[in-house]
Amino acid sequence: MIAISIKDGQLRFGRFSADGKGVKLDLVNQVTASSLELSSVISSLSKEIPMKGEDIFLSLGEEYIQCDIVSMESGLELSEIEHFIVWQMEQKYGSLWPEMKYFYQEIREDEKTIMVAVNVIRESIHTEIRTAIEQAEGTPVWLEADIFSLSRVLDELDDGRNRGVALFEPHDDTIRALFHDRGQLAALAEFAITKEDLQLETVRGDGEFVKKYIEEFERYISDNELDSDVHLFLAGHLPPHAEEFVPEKAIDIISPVLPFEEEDGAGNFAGDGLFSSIFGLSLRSIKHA
Amino acid sequence: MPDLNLFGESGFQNVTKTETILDNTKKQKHAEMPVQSQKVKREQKENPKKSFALESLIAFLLAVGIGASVVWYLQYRSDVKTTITELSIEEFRNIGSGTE
Repeated sequence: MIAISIKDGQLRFGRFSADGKGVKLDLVNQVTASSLELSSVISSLSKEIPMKGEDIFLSLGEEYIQCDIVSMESGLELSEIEHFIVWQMEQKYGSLWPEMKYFYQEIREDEKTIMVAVNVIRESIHTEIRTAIEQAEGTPVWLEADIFSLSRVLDELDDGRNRGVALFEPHDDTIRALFHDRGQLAALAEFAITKEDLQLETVRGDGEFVKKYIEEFERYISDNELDSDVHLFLAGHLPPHAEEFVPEKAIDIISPVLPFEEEDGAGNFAGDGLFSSIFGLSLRSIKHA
Repeated sequence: MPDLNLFGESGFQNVTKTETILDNTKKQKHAEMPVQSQKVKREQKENPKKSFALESLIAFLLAVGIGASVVWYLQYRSDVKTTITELSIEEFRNIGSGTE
């Protein structure tokens, strides 16, 4: 199995093989994506790591797959849900909408509301990536949004404790964040990193949960408590000045967990949380093993 | 958590069950992995036969009510007597204070 993550101009990949317990890492590497065209990226990669006969698991960043969380009243029929989602997406994408493919799945429902995760990708990109993999003689098995690969990792890190947990992934002056509420994806958000603090800029999904999470986390830091009902994981590195308001003691910095170990040849990437997407894809591949 | 496979069916995808990691020493070869995704209808929350009967009853009662209202109105209109008073031009001029 080959897991490929393409986001923010970076291509990360790992080759795994099934063993008795799950998957074992054979190879991992990172290169700057040679092009924004996915067909060129896959073609170049196939010369470095042969894909013939391999199951391909792919994770793409938001420049390729857009993610939304749509909330609506509970109890609707599937046709009504789809009608509402299509209407919302038509408002968002306008004249581009006919060029898009969309996929959606229920993520949470209570007595009043249902939340649905929606992924949208240009049909041309979808065809391009599938064709490129097939031309490399690989089998296109799984394609997902990068944020959902990270969601799978966050679920693994929570380890069944069903707490309020968040994963922060810094990128330039922003932080991409996702929040889980008792084992379920609750929200996606973006923060801006300023000189003084982190500013919440956008929230998709349960905004109330994000607000409560931040309040609890701030209380945890200010009261210097030993434990908290919420937990924060960091994939990547914050700029030095950000550590003043997000102290390292309050967070768990993700190192790529098993099967990434130096003995497996992960080399310089053994401590790099940015490979979390690769790990998330490997977890998905276990279900197919 | 979401488990959307964009190599699967577009539109609605069912949540795939979380499978336990099983001991597996053989890697299965597939031309393409079967994806547990298909467009399905959501399960009805109520018994459809009961809700259909209730809706029919409400519709029937409404129809009867509307029909009775129409009949009553037509009957009422025919019994209403109206009185029209027509003034001559001289009488009209005598009413006002004359503000020409």
